[in-house]
Order: sequence, then structure tokens, then C-alpha cells
Amino acid sequence: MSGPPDIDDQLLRGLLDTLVMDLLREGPNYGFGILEALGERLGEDAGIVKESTLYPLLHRLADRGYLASHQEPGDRGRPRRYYRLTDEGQEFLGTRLAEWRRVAGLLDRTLLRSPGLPTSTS
Amino acid sequence: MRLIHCLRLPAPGFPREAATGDPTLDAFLRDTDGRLVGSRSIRRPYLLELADHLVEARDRAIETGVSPDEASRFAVEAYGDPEPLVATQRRARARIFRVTGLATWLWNGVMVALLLILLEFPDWTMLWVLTVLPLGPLMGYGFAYAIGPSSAPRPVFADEVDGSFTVALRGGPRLAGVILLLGTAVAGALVLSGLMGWGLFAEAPREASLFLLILSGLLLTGTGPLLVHIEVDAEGFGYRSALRDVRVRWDQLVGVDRELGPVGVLRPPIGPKVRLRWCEEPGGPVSELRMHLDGSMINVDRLLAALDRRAPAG
Repeated sequence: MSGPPDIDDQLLRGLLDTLVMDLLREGPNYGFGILEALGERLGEDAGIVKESTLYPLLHRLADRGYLASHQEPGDRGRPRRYYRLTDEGQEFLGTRLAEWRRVAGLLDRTLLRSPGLPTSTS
Repeated sequence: MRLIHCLRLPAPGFPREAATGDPTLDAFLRDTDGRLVGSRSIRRPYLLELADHLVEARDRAIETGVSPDEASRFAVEAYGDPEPLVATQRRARARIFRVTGLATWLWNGVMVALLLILLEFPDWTMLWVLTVLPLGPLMGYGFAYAIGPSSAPRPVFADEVDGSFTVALRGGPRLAGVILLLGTAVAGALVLSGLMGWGLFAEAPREASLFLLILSGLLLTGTGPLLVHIEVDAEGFGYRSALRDVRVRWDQLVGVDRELGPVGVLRPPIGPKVRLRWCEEPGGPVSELRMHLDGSMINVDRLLAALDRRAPAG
């Protein structure tokens, strides 16, 4: 039994940053909640988001000022850290989405239309 | 004892608030904590977040009918290797430790040289050398790891509301005041006891006075940035220090310049120097504010980003 093949980490990093910020446009969320919501969005590709890499990613985005966080009691009374998109994050996300649209268009016009495109095997 | 434990003083122990009461989860948390650097207040937010995640993952697994023991193991295995998280935290701390430790060490060298000159190269005892030499590195260590936890990669609780945020150390001016007061009190007590003929400085009251001078200098250079309080919101920028209280609206801003000079490089804790220029009225005289920003201030990167965004082009 195997899922979709793994995607190169370098390719994934930029994509995950954008995915997480786009998700946080809907409102503040915390680590596990973000993981679940991403899982729902990604469907069979949910495996590309690993728990151990999600938190460093959140910290990195917060470090750059794209996310802000605050702590409040969670469901079980334990302190829980919520993240939300900042104004800088909104701007950065807009730029990133525009870049991804260009990349998607570029891929669509070039590689994905190439005759004899090799398909991935897992 | 592993070397990393030295980077966790003065509070190397596992933060009790992060404990979940579940042996499997707690073992994982303790193992992760063992790899984090910095004092307890710096490690705590990482561990609390990780504990919250593990508890939720375990409880979700229990809801599916898995036994509690298995659910705990599942939560830990699903999380995987904590190294990426630990590496992120180490990188964030390493930067500030390097620059603060190095800058404070350099200052210590200057102070010791000054002391040697003022004392006309006295015949120092080993006790003196051992007393004075570690001061700088110790203070650098203290600022980097214990007092300045604000380089934690996130703003602290309630730090940001409706786009407003503050730029200051967690303790703020009050903490700086306490540090200065305590430091001065300790140094003063040492000198006083020396003058009264007992204690560490009984034989050398002149050296004791210089010692006090040096200690005060180190305290002032170290705690100076703590005395500054900066607030940023949608309307503008507020700066409050012992000497100035300034409020600048964004539409008054004329320019923001970064300055890098020898003072900025040597001043512990090291940080960027920013010059703010603004006009109260269009065409009016230009006012100026030079800020020495401490790299360990909360939100200092956000402040610089906000200033860059608001600065008029050109």
C-alpha cells in the first residue's frame, strides 16, 4: 500500500508557507487545528504536511512578521497558541499567490503539455 | 553533564506547566526539552505548544476507540522527530547569543584594559583576575539567555491587538530598573564593606571603587535598551525613554535610515541603529530621533518592517 509519491522538500516549503497563510485568512487557528484543516484541503495529499515540520514553519512565518500569535486556554484548559495573519502576511500572501499563478500558468503552457511527459511511479 | 545544559542556566529544569501527566507524552516532551537551549521562560512556549498538540492528538485517537496507552504512543509517533522544531529554536537563539556574547566580551576587554591603566598595572592577585574577567561574558550570557527572551520567534501574549504592537523587552523599564538597582546595590555593598575594613574589598578600597565603576558601566550598557518603550499602531509610532517622549504620525514621517557604525557594532547587546525623521507640519522643521534597537527586543523585526513600509519612497 502506498500513497502519492513524496514531493521534494524544497518544492514543498514555499507551497506549504502559502497554504498555511491562505488557511489563516479564514481566521485564527492553532497548530493541530491548522493541521486538520490542511488535511481536509489536501485530501489524499494530506501526507505532505508533517507535524514535525508544521510548527517550525509557523515559527518561521511569525519570525518574519507574517503571522502574529497569542496564547489563550484551549478546550482542555491547557494554554494554546493561536496564529493569525498580519497585514504584512496578507501582503506577502498576495504576492505569493500571484507568483504561484504565474508558475501554474507557465507549467500549464510548457511542461504539462509536452508530448511524452513521463508520469511518476510510486 | 552535557554542554547544552550550560546553555539552559539559570533554569535548566523541565517547565512543570508543560507536563501532561501522561508518561509517554511527558517522556517525549522531556526529551525535546533536553535539546532546547535557553532559560525556562524561553523554552516554555515551545513545550506548551507541543504538549497541547500531543494531548489533542492522543485524545482524538482515544475517541476512535484506541486504548489510552496506544493513543499516546500513536500521538508521539505521528509527531515524529522533534529535531526540526529544536533546530528552529537553536538558530533563533544562536544569533542573539553570538552577537551579544561577543559584544559583551569585547566590552569586557576594554573595561579590563581601562582598569589596568587606571591602576597603573597593579600586581593583581588571581582572585582579582578571576573576579573581573568573567563579568562581561557572564552578563552577555545573562542578557542573551535569561533576561532577553524576546528573540523568541513570536510576539508574546496580548502583544498584538488590532494591528498595534509594542517593541520592548518582556519586563520593560521596570525590569531594567530592578536590575540596575540590584546591581548597584551589590556593588555598593561590596565597596562599603571594603571601606569598613571587611569583606572582599577590605584591602583595596581604590580598586573597589573602580570595580563599581566598571560594573555600573556594564549594567548601563546592558540595560540601556530595556529602558526604551516603543508602540506602533495604525496611526503612528510612539517612543518613550528616560529622556524623550515622542509621538509621530505615519503621515508626518519623512524618512527612515539604518545606520551602522562602530558604536552600533560594539554596543552590547548589539542591535541596529535607526534614524527617524519627521515633520510636525508640511514644510516645517525636520525633527529627528536616533534609536538604538536591541536585537533581543520583542518585535524589533516587525518594527523595522513597519518602518520600511511606512517610509516615503526615495
